[in-house]
Amino acid sequence: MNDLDQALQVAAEVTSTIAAAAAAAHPRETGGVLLGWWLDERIMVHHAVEVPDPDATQGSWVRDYDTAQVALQEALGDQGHPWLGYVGDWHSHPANFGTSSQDLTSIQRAANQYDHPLVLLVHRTDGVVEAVITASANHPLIRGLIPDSPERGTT
Amino acid sequence: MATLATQFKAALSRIEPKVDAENAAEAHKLVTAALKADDKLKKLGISTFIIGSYGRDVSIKRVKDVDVFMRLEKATDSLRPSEILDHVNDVLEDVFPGQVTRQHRSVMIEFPDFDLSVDVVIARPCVDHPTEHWQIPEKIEEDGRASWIETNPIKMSELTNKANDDFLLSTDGVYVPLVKLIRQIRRTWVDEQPGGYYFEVLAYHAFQDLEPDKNTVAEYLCVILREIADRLPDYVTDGPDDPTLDEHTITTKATKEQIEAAAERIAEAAQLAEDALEDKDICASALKWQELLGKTQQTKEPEFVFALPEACNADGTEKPRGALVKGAPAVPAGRDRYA
Repeated sequence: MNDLDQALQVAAEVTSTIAAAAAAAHPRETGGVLLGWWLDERIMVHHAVEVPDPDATQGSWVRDYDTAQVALQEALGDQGHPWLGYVGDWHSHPANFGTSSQDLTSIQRAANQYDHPLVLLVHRTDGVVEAVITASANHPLIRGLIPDSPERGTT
Repeated sequence: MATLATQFKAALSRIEPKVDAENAAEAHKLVTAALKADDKLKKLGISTFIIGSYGRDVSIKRVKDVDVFMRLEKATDSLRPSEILDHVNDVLEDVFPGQVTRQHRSVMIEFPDFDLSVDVVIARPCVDHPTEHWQIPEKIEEDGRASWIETNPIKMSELTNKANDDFLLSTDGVYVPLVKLIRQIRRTWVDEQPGGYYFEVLAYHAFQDLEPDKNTVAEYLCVILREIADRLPDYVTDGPDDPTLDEHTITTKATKEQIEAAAERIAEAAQLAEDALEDKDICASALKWQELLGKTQQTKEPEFVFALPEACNADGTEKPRGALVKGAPAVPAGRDRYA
């Protein structure tokens, strides 16, 4: 088990939801929030919710608090799982490039508001989903490909 | 607000009569083929149509009977119900020996392998409105004459389809799923009478009058159930308007006392639904929805229609979390850009 496996578990439904949303939004970016919980320092991601950004472009998607909070609350009501809550973000890249420095800056800034690390999933057009786990007291920043991506590895 | 869309989707699947529907289709096909092969019925202009809750796709598990409306389009007012019932009985007895029972206004064929029966209801064009609707025997006298009662079950199928097109949840029709849930609640909360069709009509009027536009099944269920609860006490003497026949009301075998008892029970059920919707505790809310929808009925192993989320105990409390930390209730403040 590598660092990413120890730090993250992603339900299959999450990647299929993200892939479908990415395809529908192409060639613009889209994104949203990830729902799950933390278990022994591991982030368990169970559900992905799209949060539309009307100003999204081919190179940018913004998570706006008001819109994202409404989407989160609706999803929590619909899902009916008392442990679910916000654990991170996802967005799509309409090209085969992975996590950008802007992505790392944004997810780390967001993580500073919580006691536990957050996860960022980045969907590429080749179907690969990259994952970033923000740095915590127990580990530095972790990057890799989630298990059902075509290729995988960690850095 | 606990709308529990995932659990409602599973609940609707749990009351869906999948196997029964396949068997009903096969039984209907066999009966119709036998009827249409008969020369006398051909001359009378036989044309069949599946009616009843199964025909309108609002039936719930289990489907025990399928109603076939056997229209005799060329029949005149001289048609003797007793004679035609005898004839249909004989035709079917030849094909399904030992499975056929002649009834009051229909002929029933039992299919023990499917554990369901098909009722063939004989109809002639309405004497006064032959192009608009039909008449079925109401009571057959000893001399074979009968009084006839007007009916228009095909119209109800058309109204059901239209209502399901008119009232949507996202892009899917929500009327039919709601009628199924209302039928399930009636089975759970009401003693025998009034029957499922009575509540289906109440649901139909509630949709038409309120024209609800909601985002979840839970919200639709609350408003429709409340409307039915508020309306039921008005129907102690006369039933709700029949949506298929002008100036007719729905009749029921229910007594005045049974209507009043049903009104009280449905008011309780409506309150429970509203409490479930407002409950912010997901497990407590789910337990209330479970109580509202009860168990599948007439099934070998009754099961709760509404399953509790996996993280909930059977008493509506949450399972111990141990080292687990719930996801955050709020997204990060501000705006974060990803590129």
